[in-house]
Amino acid sequence: MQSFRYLEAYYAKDATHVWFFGDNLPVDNPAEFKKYDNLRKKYSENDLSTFPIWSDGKYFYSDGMSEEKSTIVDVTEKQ
Amino acid sequence: MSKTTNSILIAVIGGLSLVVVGAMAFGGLYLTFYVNNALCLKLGMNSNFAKDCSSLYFYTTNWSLGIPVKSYEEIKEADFATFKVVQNLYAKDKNVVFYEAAKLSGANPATFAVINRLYAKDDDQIFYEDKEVSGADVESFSILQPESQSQFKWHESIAVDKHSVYLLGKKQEQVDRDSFHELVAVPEFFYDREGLLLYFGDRGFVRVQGADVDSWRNVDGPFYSDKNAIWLRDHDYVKVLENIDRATFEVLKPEIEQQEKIFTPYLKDKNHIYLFRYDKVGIL
Repeated sequence: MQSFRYLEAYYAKDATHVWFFGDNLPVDNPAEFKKYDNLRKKYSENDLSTFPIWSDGKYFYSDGMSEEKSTIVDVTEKQ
Repeated sequence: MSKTTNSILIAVIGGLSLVVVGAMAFGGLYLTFYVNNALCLKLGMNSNFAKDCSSLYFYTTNWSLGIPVKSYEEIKEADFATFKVVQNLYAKDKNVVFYEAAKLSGANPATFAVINRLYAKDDDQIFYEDKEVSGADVESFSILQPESQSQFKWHESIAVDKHSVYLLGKKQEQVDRDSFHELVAVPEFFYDREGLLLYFGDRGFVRVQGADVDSWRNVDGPFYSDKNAIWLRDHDYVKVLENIDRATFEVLKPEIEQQEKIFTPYLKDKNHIYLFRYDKVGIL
């Protein structure tokens, strides 16, 4: 309870768990779980979801769902 | 050419231009008048009533793909010569008051007047939209004026007379008129000498049994507190959240501020983290 943090957009974590809207996510490493601003979910050639992408460094999560790496796209604008 | 000749030429051209513009304007007006009468077009009297050369209509406007689409309903029993719009959705002729396209039964057109967007009256009745407000006293009937600066838009819907409180045209038998007030610090709540009342639209005022009016506060979102407990307000009820420590209760804020205000599902007190989901609060 002491380490409980409400991160953002229904995601919360403590030292041993990550939750999305109260549902326990199968995250291997809660300490590394964080949001990646430059990642977006891709549904089609022209569609990038606006859901933020979260990751523990091993798997991606979007709207609480575990995602295949191939659906996640780096949308960082190259200078 | 000399300067004099130039001036004359400019004056002539200017004069001719004015004549042409005037003729066009007059011609336009005449054409509009002629077309309206020849084609008998429907012309709006306000945003809900219209007439053509021989009939009267109530109309509504719906938007489809950015284009206004009007649907008309003819007011069949109106007297065309004396028909006029009163205000909003009300109109009258020498004999009858109309609400939208239908007769407002029993209303006197000679004394009929609109009170606000929802209520109207004649010399001996109060109306809520197209219904009589049964038992209302016309002399003392008035719309309750808000005491707070709340954004909650109740103020057109609540009225009082010397005997009763009315909400959306319905007498609130359970409310004491003389001690009835808005709870200024907490939107959507009112009180009388019997205790706290929740404004619940069509369903009337719902009494919150056991709540302390003086200490009633909004904690965050649907969570309220009084001196004794934390309360959860859903659409049609307010209930005590049992086994939650009132003094240390808080609704957790996300670490990263949200651009859009979204529902917060995580709560805590000194004993537990709680999840608020599907209108229920449970230990996480």
